[in-house]
Amino acid sequence: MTRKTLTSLVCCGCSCLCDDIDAVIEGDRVVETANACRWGAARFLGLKKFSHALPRARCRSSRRRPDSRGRHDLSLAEAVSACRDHLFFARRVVAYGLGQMSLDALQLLMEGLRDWETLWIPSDGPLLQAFVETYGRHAPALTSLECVRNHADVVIFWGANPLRSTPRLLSRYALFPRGRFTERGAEDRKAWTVDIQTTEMGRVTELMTIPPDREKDCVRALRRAHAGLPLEAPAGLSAKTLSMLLKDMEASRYRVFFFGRGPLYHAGGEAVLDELASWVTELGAFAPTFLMPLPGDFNSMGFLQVFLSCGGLANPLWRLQGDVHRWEPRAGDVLLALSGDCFWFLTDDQKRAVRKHRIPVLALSAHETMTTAEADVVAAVGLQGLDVSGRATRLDGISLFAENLWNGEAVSDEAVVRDLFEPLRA
Amino acid sequence: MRPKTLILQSGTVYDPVTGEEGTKRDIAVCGETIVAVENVSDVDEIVDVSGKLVTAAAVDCAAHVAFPGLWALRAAGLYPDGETIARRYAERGFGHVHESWATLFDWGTVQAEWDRIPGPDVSVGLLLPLYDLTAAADAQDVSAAHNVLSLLCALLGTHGFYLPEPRVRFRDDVYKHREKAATDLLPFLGAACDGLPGPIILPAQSLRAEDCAALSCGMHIQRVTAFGDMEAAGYLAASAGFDRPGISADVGLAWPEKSVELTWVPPPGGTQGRRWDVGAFLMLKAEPLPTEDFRDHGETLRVLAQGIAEGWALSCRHANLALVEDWEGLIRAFLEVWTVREWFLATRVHAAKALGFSDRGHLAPGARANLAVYGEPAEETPAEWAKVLSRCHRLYVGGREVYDAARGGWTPSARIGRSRHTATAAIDLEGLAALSDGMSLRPETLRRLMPRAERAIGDDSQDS
Repeated sequence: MTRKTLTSLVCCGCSCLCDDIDAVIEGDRVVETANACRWGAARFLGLKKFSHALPRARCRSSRRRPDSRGRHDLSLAEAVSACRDHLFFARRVVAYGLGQMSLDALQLLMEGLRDWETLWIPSDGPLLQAFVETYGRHAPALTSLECVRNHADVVIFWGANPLRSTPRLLSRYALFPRGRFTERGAEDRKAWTVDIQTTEMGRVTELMTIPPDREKDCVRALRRAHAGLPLEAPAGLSAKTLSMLLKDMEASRYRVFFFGRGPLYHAGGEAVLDELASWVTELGAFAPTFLMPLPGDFNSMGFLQVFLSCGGLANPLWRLQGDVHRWEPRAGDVLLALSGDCFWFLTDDQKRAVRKHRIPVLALSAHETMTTAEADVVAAVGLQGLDVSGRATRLDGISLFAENLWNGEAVSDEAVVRDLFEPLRA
Repeated sequence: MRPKTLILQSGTVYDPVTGEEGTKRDIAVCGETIVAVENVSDVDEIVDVSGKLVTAAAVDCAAHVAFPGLWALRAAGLYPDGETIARRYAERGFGHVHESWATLFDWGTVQAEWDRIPGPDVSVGLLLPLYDLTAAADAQDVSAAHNVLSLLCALLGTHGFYLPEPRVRFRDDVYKHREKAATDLLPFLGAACDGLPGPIILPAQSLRAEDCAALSCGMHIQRVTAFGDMEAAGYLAASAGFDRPGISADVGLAWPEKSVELTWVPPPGGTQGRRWDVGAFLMLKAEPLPTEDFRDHGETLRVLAQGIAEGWALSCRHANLALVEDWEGLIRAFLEVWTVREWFLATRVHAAKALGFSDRGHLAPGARANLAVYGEPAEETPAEWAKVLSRCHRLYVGGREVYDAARGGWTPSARIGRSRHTATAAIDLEGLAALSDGMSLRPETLRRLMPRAERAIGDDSQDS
């Protein structure tokens, strides 16, 4: 079998979209990778993300579930046609996942659903929705990862653990690499992690742990102290640690806050982001200060870009919903699970409601998941960056193109979505 | 296959280049090009445009339509969606939009955004990462810089370069700051870009008086003055240094709507307000603005008309001409002090010339068939002309009809009429090594950003 080495591949393992991956391929299989993090390597090698000894089951064939428990294998065209039949009778489409689709597929999907009542639930929904709402109220500045690498001398991870969401962010951009104005790499940067628990980030950054109900108070205390008022540490927080963080901030020329999903797991999370965004805007008067979201899925920001570019917020038929748990399944819904494992996250009540209302579940997936096991129709698509090509947007809004590594029979999500909507539009 | 031929029959032609100001005649199109009517034998389609005004489609010579941070402005409700931008361009008869700049790393973002927008031809300039050329500039090695820039042009389809800050400050050898003088850099860049497509665009605000002597042919001074923000005397003083053969310029409209002001500024220290750091020492700043009325600036307009007579084009200072909501009000204010001919010169002829396009902005045979068809004014008043020129009936791009107002807007050709960069056969990626120090994306990644260039799998692989 021919063995080839491909260089500078784009990894779709997370929203860093690293473009420096080397891989050795044999036929339609990657046998070795270089430069990839464990997640990226797992994606290339076909292994599970968190259990690297186990292969991740690929969704190889399309199928439909008849009334009985058995399944019928279908050709992809038949599966797409079956999806179309269900969509034709939908009173509301619930589109879940989305963050692992290509930009082109997302564009076609949104054009196709332009005139349909649609509930959009991206898998990074809580973060994306919180950011959209925050940007409506405040004006935190944004930057690119290249600028972070070249300029940032203070980096703060708030409720974010890049080692668990974007593993190479630290080594490629935010902490260790040398940049144009940070020539000594980590020595030229101060890094802080603010979290409600002790994480492995404490090994590479200063760590400030805070009680979950004190996050907003913590931002307020820092904000007041930065404005020249006496530092009043909230209960459970050390004044010394707060003043160390402030000291680093005040000595810096270019500061970047990365905001993760952490605070959004509790009820007051959006208020924390709101307060932080407001403070970042204020800090901008003293030195360039930026607030960056840290989504997990490789194309979450691509979803947001296309959604906003298509006038998603203004479309009266569309609603962006961050939390899938707030979806109340109702008769007439059609669940379109697009490269996301919706059933993994649904509550038992939601699953019961899906069955009660006989809500068709249509899955476009490259992997076998709990959702594909429950789906009425499964359309198998290729894995972007391996089987098929596609564009995606990095966490800072920069678009890259991930190429296929071999020419196989797998079909791209773009082709499937095009086939799905073209006859409906006609 | 024989290219399709089309005749626009009996239109009222208005084109300052051919000297026609209301001539009734036919216009013939063969494929993507305007041809002489007498050279057309078999006609595939005849469109009756009697009673209509036919002009070359307008050109937005310095636009920011797709830029990093756009999503944040849209999330804040401060920027229209892509469809609205495209529709406004079509309604106003724009057939070409030049995205002034994209950096290397956001090239894909800009391309993805434009792929979502139907309608006009698009060209994109590269925001030149000057510090990446430091080694060549220090050694005054013009050919090394030229080779790298040629490769980037071939790779990405770059049309021109944008130089935000001609005095680049950089830091090397740990903590040493150096500044390269514009008078050193500009002649070097002029020579390095010689023969490459498109202009070197320099924002007027980044130039000092002493820099003018270093300008050379092919450079374009962006927004020499902005509508309403400079006194007439100041404008004349500013323009004196740019009035030289081979140097083009444009005047920018300030944002006239109750919306946001976008400015592209070097970061002075802070980032207050909505900002996006686009790299290369440039920031996008967006701040809410009160409503303005163009007619309050008649005196400035009269002075700007002199600039138009000198060959200057019209652009929007902050973003793009599609962002002007009240286009009719804008044209009316202009035509109260300008002639219709000056309007066509500023929005077509000079705008195309500024970009180095000899085949756009006019209707002479050989020109690309970017055509706009409007109604005819019932009377020769600014109000009537403004009404007519703000409602394009049909728009042709590359000979294909992309927009037809009577049939509800976009035609099926709206996305395929656009001219696109196609990949050149073999590109030596090693040649980009000179840039790799400052480039965050690998040359291979840049190659992938070429508009969907197909490559055989494993072209760059090594068998083991």
